[in-house]
Amino acid sequence: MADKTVTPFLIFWHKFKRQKSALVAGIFILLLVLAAIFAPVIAPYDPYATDYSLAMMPPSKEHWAGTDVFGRDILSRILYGARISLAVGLSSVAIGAIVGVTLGLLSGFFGGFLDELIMRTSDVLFAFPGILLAIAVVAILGPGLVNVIFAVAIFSIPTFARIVRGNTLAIKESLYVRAARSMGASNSRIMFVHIMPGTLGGAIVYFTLRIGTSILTASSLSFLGLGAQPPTPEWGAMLAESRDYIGVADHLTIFPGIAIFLTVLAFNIFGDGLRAAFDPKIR
Amino acid sequence: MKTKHWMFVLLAILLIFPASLFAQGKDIIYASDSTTNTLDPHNTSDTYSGAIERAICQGLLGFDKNLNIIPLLAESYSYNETATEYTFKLRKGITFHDGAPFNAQAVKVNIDRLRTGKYVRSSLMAPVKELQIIDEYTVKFILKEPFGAFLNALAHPGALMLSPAALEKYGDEVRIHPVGTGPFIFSEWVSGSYVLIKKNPNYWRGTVKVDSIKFVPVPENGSRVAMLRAGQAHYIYPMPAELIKLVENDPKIEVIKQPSIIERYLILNTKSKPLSDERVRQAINYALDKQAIINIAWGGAATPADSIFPSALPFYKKQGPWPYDVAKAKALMKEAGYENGFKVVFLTPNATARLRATEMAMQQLKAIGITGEIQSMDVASFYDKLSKNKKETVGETPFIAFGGWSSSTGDADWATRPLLSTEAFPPNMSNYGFFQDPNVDRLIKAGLTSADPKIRAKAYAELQDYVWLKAPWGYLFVDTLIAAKSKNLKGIYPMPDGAFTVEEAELVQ
Amino acid sequence: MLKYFLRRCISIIPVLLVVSILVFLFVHLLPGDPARIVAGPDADEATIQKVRIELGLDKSLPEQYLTYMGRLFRGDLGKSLRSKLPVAQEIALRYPPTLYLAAASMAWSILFGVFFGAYAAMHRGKWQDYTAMVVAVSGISMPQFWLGLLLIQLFAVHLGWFPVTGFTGKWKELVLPSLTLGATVAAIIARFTLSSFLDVLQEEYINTARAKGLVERVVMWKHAFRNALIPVVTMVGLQFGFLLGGSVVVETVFAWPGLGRYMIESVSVRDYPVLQALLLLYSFQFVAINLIVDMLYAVINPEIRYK
Repeated sequence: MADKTVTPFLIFWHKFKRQKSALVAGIFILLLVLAAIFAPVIAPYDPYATDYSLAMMPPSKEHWAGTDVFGRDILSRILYGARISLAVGLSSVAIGAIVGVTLGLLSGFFGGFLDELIMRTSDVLFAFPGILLAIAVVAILGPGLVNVIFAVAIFSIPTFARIVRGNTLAIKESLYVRAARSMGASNSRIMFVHIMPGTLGGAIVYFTLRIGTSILTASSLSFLGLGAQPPTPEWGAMLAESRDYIGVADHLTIFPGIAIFLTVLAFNIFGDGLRAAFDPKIR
Repeated sequence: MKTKHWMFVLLAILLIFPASLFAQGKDIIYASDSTTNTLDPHNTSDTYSGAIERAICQGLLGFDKNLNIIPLLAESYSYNETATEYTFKLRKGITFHDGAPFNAQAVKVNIDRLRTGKYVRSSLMAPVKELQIIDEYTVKFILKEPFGAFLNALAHPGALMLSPAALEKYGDEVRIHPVGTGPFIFSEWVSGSYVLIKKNPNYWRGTVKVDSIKFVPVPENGSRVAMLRAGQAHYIYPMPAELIKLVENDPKIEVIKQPSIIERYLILNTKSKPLSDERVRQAINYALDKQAIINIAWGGAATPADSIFPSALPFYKKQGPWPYDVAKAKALMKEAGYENGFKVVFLTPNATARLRATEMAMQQLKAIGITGEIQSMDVASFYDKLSKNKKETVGETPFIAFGGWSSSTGDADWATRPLLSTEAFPPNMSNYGFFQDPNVDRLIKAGLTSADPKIRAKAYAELQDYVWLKAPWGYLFVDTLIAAKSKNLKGIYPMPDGAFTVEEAELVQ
Repeated sequence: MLKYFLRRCISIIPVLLVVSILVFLFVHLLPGDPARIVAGPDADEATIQKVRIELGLDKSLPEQYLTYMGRLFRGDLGKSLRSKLPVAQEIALRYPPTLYLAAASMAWSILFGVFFGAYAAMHRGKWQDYTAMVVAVSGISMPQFWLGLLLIQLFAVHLGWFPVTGFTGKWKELVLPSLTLGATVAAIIARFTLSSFLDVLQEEYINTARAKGLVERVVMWKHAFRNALIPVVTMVGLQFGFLLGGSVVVETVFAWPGLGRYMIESVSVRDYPVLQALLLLYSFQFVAINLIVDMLYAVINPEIRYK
């Protein structure tokens, strides 16, 4: 070790790889991303090809996850759907997090009028139920996936803002921030160097939770006809479209359900590992 | 901190009500996907509210289970040859639930109320010029012009008779205090939860065999079926076709099927370039595999459309169904010069079954080169979009939209005029595809302006022959209504228009 | 502190004022014509126009806004376009069912969420940790409609322990919907409890406490709990706000006569006065809850001061 330069990345990696479960989750996510990218190569069938004579076949050797109402191969649709669901989940939460964390920091740190303004605005945003918000976004921008991403993103902003603000309030009063301030550190330095890392724990955890929620929110939006338009194989849409068959052909909901479940689980465990690895207090 | 948790638990326990008793006896629970909007028949626009009103109130005329017109509060009726004068002899000795007598004066109060033009169903009485009271039990309607479907207007739930005393007492608040002459007396309406009606002990047509009926809205398909299976509902409507497998082997449950007057079709924008060509529209009809759409998208609960309106309506004449023949469809496309196909937009409401049907139509039309994207939206947006199209500009956007229609008067006129006549262009009525043909306008008028069944039959037969081949729509299917009930319940039936009748309801052991 | 509290209370008024304008614009922005819906699917334009006039929808938007605000200041929320009943009465009918459901769900969630979270934190890295978290995460990654329908199948249809749907005031009716609704919230609370405990457990003063030879359980409950609670309280407050809005999915699946279903019904018929009133109510609830949450911060951690 002595002849190597110790970079922050190495510290991070050293700490991260100790978390075996997070490593597994990370590998799963990586595989999922690869599956999404190479879906055309690995999918056994065309996800859009219908064959009414094969409608709603249970899982078999030819169709591992069975076929849907139109006789389409569910496994192929899930593989293609990974692209869409991951894109919706990640990008909507990312947009929401960036805006929300910034607002929360500003709000908690400066307090006063700015705090009041940001928090009351987020109250207003909160007050609009997500589904109504989505209808509004779609009414203005038209239906489609990109607009769903915006709708879900807007919905995430206030929660990020409130979490980060709560932590900021606590850290602001802590000894080491007071120390930094007495040493003459600038506002932005205190905010981004001393406070932000401490608030990220909560935000990252929420980020990973939120990816799953976003995928599910996209599902309810699809159900309202505001999400991915058919025949797009978005997981949530597959689930929502198939709920008429619960109890009759359960494989229609179970496989997309499992895909969502595993993905959310992986992001959670992975996020946990990240949190531990980022934490300067853990050695 | 522990105490805080216990406080929450305590709070939850306190908030939970003490258990009340289960009402047993001859009380029926009817679970439906719909919600009651009003109980004022003259101001009702939805089938479900109208059906509940029919259990409380009655009209001069009514429909039997097969949608034939029968006299109810009128004993008999007659009309003149030109369909401008209709005379009704009223039944004697009938009183409203509040004791007010039913007589010519009561009829006049109700018809006059409709004729103020203030109500949603005022249009039913729009043809009336004058209502004359001949004697206490005889009334005569004089119409402005011949109107052949006037009997249907009087059988419509919008023309039910309310107690004049109640109208006096409550005014328009009668919507939450309906008083009629029917087999059940209105008892309670808790908005969003249920409507409760109770047996009328003095019903003029005989003994009512159950004590009460509670109408409960249960929007989720799976939950409604679960209620029936768990014995918490006696009757559910609609019974989702996809889930019939779950109940068909249950010895306590019976599934009821009823042909409806609801026809489904693809509205083709006949003003837009490729779809304005009759051959293209015929090609679309050849390319649609109706039976596959029924089986897969509609759970098998439909029959292929074989005319421009369903067979349960009067003056129906069988035409089809249109054969499924892709080769012929391709030939027609080639003949029309669209061998390589074209692009359209598929519009649909986002209810799952309709979305599935539209998706399948899209898959099938791809075979003849018609491609496009689906735009699904909620019902309000869907009709808003269609009704905002203008005659002058609609041709610029070729669309195919999933449409459906139920003739609420149970007459052929209301199954054709609002959909195919020039006067029905949006926003006025529902000719969303802007289909325009002078011959069609002429035949519709011929059917409307006579009360003579022979003349009307001839006009509508000719109309059906003609429009079927003109193909303003991609004809799909006629819904089969499915309800399910517990086997010990008898006497509740779905009606072809999606309503129901509960008058003969009975619980047997 | 009291001054801060009062100032926050007063600040509610301008918030609601802004909300009222936004809400008004918002509902009128939705595509769809309430008059067309009230008049029914087969109405002609003349009838629709009549309804439009009756409902006051023929007037210009600014005129409608002034009428609406005028009424609002007199405490009148207007009448539902669909049922013609006073909106206040309609909401009053549906508020208790949603409140009971929210309270019951919250009770489950806090109980299970904090327990699983704290349990996992105490057994960090062992199998108990993973099991607790997998259980918690399954709550959030299962679509509510699916979970609800599965619970109905098992406990209502097959076992017959609980009623399938509806709410008439019996405690049994609350069990399945509150479990369905609580599962998501419990998962969120468990995650927050865990991460927040872990953060706190790494703090110096905990190590000091441990070094002083305090028993682990005492460390957990006395020192860690208090500080770990801040983010959890934030989350509980937020989640309770969501729950008070009523859950569209759970209320639909369980035919629950609450606000969530009412909202989605009102959206589908474009019932402007109802939507406006509901959104105002939601805003008020959130502002109030956030105020309480902020006050609780100070109670839990006296180091936070409000000026």
